[in-house]
Amino acid sequence: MFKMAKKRKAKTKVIRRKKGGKLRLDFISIGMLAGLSMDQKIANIIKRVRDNHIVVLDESLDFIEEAKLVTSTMKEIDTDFKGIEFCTLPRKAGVFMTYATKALESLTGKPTAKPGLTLVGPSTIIREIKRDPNAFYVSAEL
Amino acid sequence: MVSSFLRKLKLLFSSLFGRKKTITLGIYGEPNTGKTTLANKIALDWLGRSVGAVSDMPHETRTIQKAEHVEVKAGSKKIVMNLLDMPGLATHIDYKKFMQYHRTNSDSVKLERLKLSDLKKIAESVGVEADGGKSKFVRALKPKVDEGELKDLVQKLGIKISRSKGKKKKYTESEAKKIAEEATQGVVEAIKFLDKVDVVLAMMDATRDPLNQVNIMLVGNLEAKGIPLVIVANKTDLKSAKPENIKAAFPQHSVVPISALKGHNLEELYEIIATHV
Repeated sequence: MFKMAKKRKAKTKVIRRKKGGKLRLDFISIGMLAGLSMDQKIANIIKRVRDNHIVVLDESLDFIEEAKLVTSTMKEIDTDFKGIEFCTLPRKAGVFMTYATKALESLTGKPTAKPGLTLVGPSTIIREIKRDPNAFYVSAEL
Repeated sequence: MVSSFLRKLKLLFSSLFGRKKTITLGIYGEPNTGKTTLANKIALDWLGRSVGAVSDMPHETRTIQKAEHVEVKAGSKKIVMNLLDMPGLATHIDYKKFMQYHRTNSDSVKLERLKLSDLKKIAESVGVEADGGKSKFVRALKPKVDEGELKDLVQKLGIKISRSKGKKKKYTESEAKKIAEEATQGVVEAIKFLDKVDVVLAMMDATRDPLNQVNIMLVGNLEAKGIPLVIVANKTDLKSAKPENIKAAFPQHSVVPISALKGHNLEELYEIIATHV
């Protein structure tokens, strides 16, 4: 009898948590990140993810930015923040565009936005990301 | 781009003048892909000592483990390398996960806990002469073999150590938090070290989906920096291993299926590393 009562109580708890949870998605355009340095861009993303937001960027982070995102995340990890899950989907540019972009970056000294998509979210919410070359599939749980 | 060009130029010059060069080989990958198992296998086979502890717990290696001047024969070539076993790369670390693992005394090996037959094997390998029972061997070996050497000998000679179940204890919350902190520092250190390695072995677990962001980020960073890499599809001794999935995911790179645990196909791996020297 006692065991049954305990079970029922645990079930109610789960339902309450589901009711209270809110999934927050931040869709950010290239324009919002234009002009930001790599450090500023990464800090901006991590700040949002720390607040339990899933961030969707209208650009693809390059590999150096991804490494920076991981090292910055590691420095932020504590008892409340467990880290991130992320995925990038770059849109392949032609050889001419790649060189033109690199030339522009070296002339202006500022990184240019890479076409594509990036999703970054807290690892406590994003359970799994499955990907193939042209898409990714996210399972999230509050 | 410039660093990639300089690296290729350096490689061309060293190959033209045939000077024996020591390469820095970094073993990178996600946690629990068998990086330390492979590093131990290479170091034990060619150097006679292990590099680090192996366990089921992710992030067991939390600092860079080094084995310097390892000379490996690869076909007709000889590779001289400084082997770096890197902490596992991850995007998230939850200290609570470490609390599920047991803290064992596997790190400390005591002569007293070994069988007489094993003590005889050790005495023979270090050239200690003794006769009689277990205690006589223990007394004879103690001044000659310190704890670190004993640990390596046990591994090299394939001696099994029985662990008493009663001593198993799970990590406490504060210990788990400390492990998590060390693990995060390890990830940062491993990524920073990408600029200091000549060749990278990207370890992937052939039983898992290779298309995850850590593997993609690792391979992408190495390509961007112009660092030669060999993808190692580990754990082929397991039935669920599918090294062909790794080959399909990264068709532009050499993929070598191996079992670091069993030592399968390491010759092919050495030969492919030699092509980058």
